[in-house]
Amino acid sequence: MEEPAQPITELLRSWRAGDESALQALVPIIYQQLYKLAGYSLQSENGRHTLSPTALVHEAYLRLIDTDVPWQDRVHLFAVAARMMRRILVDHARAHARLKRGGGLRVTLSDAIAPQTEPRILDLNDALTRLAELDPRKCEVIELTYFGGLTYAEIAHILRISEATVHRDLALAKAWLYDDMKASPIHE
Amino acid sequence: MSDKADWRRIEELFDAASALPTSAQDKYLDEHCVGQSELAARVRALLCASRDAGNFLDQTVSSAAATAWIDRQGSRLGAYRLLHEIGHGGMGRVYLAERADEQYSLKVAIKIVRGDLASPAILQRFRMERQILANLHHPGIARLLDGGATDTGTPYLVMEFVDGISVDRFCKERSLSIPDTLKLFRRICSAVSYAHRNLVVHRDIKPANVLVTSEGLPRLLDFGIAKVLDVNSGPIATTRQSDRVMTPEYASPEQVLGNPVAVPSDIFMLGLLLYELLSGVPAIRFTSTKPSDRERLICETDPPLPSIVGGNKKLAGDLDAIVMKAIRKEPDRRYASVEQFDNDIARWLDGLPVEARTGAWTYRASKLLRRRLVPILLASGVALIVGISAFTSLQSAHRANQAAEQSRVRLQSALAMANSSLLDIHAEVSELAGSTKARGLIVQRTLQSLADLEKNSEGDPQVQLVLAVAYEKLSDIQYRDGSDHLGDTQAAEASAKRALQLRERLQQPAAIAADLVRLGELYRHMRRDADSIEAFRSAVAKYESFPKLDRPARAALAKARGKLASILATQADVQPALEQIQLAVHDQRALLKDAPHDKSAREEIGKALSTLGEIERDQIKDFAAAFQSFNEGLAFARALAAEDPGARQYRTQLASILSNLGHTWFQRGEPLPAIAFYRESLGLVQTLAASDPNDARSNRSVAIHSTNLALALSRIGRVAQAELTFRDAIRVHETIRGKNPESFLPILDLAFAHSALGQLLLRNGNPADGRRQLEEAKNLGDALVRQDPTNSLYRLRLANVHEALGDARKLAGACPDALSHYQHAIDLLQSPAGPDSGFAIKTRDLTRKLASCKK
Repeated sequence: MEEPAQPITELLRSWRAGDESALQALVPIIYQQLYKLAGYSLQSENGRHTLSPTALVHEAYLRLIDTDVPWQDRVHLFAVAARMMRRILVDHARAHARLKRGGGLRVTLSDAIAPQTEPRILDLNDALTRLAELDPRKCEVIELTYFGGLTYAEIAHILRISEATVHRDLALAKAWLYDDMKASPIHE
Repeated sequence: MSDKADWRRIEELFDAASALPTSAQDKYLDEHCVGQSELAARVRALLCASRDAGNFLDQTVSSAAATAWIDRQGSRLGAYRLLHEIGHGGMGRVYLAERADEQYSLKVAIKIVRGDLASPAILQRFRMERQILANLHHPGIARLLDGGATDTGTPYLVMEFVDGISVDRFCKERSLSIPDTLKLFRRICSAVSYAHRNLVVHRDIKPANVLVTSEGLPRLLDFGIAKVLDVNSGPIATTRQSDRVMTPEYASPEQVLGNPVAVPSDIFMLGLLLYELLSGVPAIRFTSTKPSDRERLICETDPPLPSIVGGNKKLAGDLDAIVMKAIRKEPDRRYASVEQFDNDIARWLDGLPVEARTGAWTYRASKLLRRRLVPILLASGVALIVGISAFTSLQSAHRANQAAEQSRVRLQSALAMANSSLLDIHAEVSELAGSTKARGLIVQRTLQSLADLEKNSEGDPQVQLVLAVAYEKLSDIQYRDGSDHLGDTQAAEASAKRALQLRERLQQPAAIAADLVRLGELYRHMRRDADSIEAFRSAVAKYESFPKLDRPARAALAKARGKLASILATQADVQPALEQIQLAVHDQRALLKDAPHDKSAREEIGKALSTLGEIERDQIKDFAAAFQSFNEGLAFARALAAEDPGARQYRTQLASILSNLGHTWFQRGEPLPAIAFYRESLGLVQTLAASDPNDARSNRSVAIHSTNLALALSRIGRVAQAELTFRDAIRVHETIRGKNPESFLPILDLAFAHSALGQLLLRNGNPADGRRQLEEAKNLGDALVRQDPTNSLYRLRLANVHEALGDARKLAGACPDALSHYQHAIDLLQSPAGPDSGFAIKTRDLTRKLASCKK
């Protein structure tokens, strides 16, 4: 993110204080962040030729606006956005799984292709919840990285830790999650 | 066990242990977890997980995002309904899909290109490649059925869906014997071979891309697609998740180095595949995550023999040799074709000796020699150390010893010569008139030195760099655009190509692109349009392939586009030219925006706008747009010329745009404004020519502009002035002709000028003189056409003269003469290459004139 932290913080403060126009100013910034969130595979480096993640973004944006959570500062905003994206992806995966189970999609594939790419977002979701009980900051680092699409520097700034700590947190969190998910059954 | 109690401890231990090499980790844990074996085990498990995790998080999340997106889309993509994801790779995601509108369901696989890989350039290439790929019909290749783009322009491909499992799994699950594995592999070879015959290279052959059906039929996926995206070449070291090499474990050394990738790379990958199928283990396994380590592994370390790593003695000997030959680091050391590879396997199956074994000893010997020779030569005459037992290698070592001393002396002198700015001296020498002979001699000697240097350099990169630069300078000297001294175009081409080869070996993308532009300009001058277009296209593609374009590269790309557009404008299809020049102007604007005062940027945008104007005027026939473009370019040119009066190139550019504006007005049928512009332009080039008599371009410009001015004057009836101006032009052309006796250009120009003057005189009461001028023009035209009968420009010029003569004779009442002239003209316009649209119109007019004569 190029924009300096100050304006966003001020805008947030104004909005909290009741200034609706501040929200308008926030909108493009939020949008940009949410576009980033819609997964690496759906987004291009310089904004050209994106597969339209508009639907996802709209949904996330609506939910954000609906939220009654007070915006403390930038940290809060992007952390919430990341969490929001996580919730959206999980909801979609659940709905999708229900459809498959309900016989909506009949597939006659060799299993060679399926298991490797079976979306395990639901398992990840559960594992993250468990990780959060153990070490909330690690869960946040994961969320901000993978659901938030933020860089290590940004995360360090937001969480007020050093970049080295971010790397260390990620390493352990990733290992822990992988280990945890290996053990749990695959959601169908 | 609950991690909660010991979490801080676990964290400490994990952090510390991760920093150690794998082998030291156990020891560390033992030392620090005395009496806490469960804790140690837990940390061990986490360390293990850390190694295995890969990028599972990234994939999980992005996969979920993709699924969510599909759902929101309503699963429709074009005529298909996406069912669900069946895979993803470096290039994009693959979905199972079916046709949404048909009674029966035909399953297809749709690959959607990753968002960040799609760009206008890629879309263009996709379109081109689709046709080629769709024509690949082979049982071993999954067919490309269709393709398209989403409404945001992201390309997708619809392919035959192959219901099978990856070839490595197939072989494992069926426990195939060696002969059966080989027979399966030969089927794969047959498919790849077919594609190579159709000039398609796969570039990403790996087990996951070879699916085998339950009947045992292998089918290749993703053929040639990697080439379209041009992502499969580049270093492993990147900062982004989106690696440029798609599957590093299966990359060939030349891919990793960014070198050209072609048939040998496919052979390398086939070799790796065979290695894995026979031994059960992939050839390249990364132990380090550091990109530089991985690159080194791919480029320098030979994998262990398949027989050893797979523990199967039956593979030892010839089969080992076959596999290892296919995966040699140097492309030219592998099998030269898939057929050869396949034949060697056939020979093994028949129990015959294989080709892979015979070359072994000499190969190793010469490789060792090459590594030693250069440092020895460059240091000073230390005795060669030969440590090889084979008889042949002893012989070559002996020979090398004798030659070493001689070569050393020559090498040093060649290096000295190259470094002594010989070529720079040459550049100055070439400005002097009348020293063609001297120039020729210098070029000769330089070429000899370079050849010497190359022979003895043994691929030393520093020497290669010197050579590349030298060849580039030489090429420029051998044929300079704008003047044709020496006229040695083929030699210039050879030099430029040599430089390009060297640059490719040195892996210098920017220099490679610059050389391609050089070749493009050369070819244009040699009137080899197709080659010129190809070279410029390659240059543009090369620039586009840079991961990051710094300012000089962006500027070079924009310039290259302009040149490409310019040559494309001479072709029948106008669209590509327009596309390129619009891109060029767009790029130039961006560059200018970043640095509004940069003179170079202002100069280049002026040129680009000028080219755009020309295309708009001549090809698109949109005069309003042309005026706009020219006027904008004019503003830039005027400003630069005013700010920097000493710089000749700004005034030349200004004159050029003014002249273009003049043309535009003239073609619009407005001679008066045309005259104003021509006069101003003429004034400029006259000053330029006067201040530098060797500026051949300016001299020619004087003559050309005079002719144009004269035409405009004649159009408004200023006959006397027009006549004088024509004669001025002819005088200048004659002078140029005198200085360049072998050149065709002055003759062509003279033919035009004489013809124009002749027609002027004819129409204005001086038929005798007029006829004389036309006869002169005809003689010149005859000479040109005799020299090169295939040249359509010459034929057109002569045809025009015959038409004018025909008109003249008809006016004089000599119909049979007129008839023969018209017939001559029509004959000249019969193009052996095929009907030319411009000529067709002209031919029709002439036929009408002919007919009216016959009456």
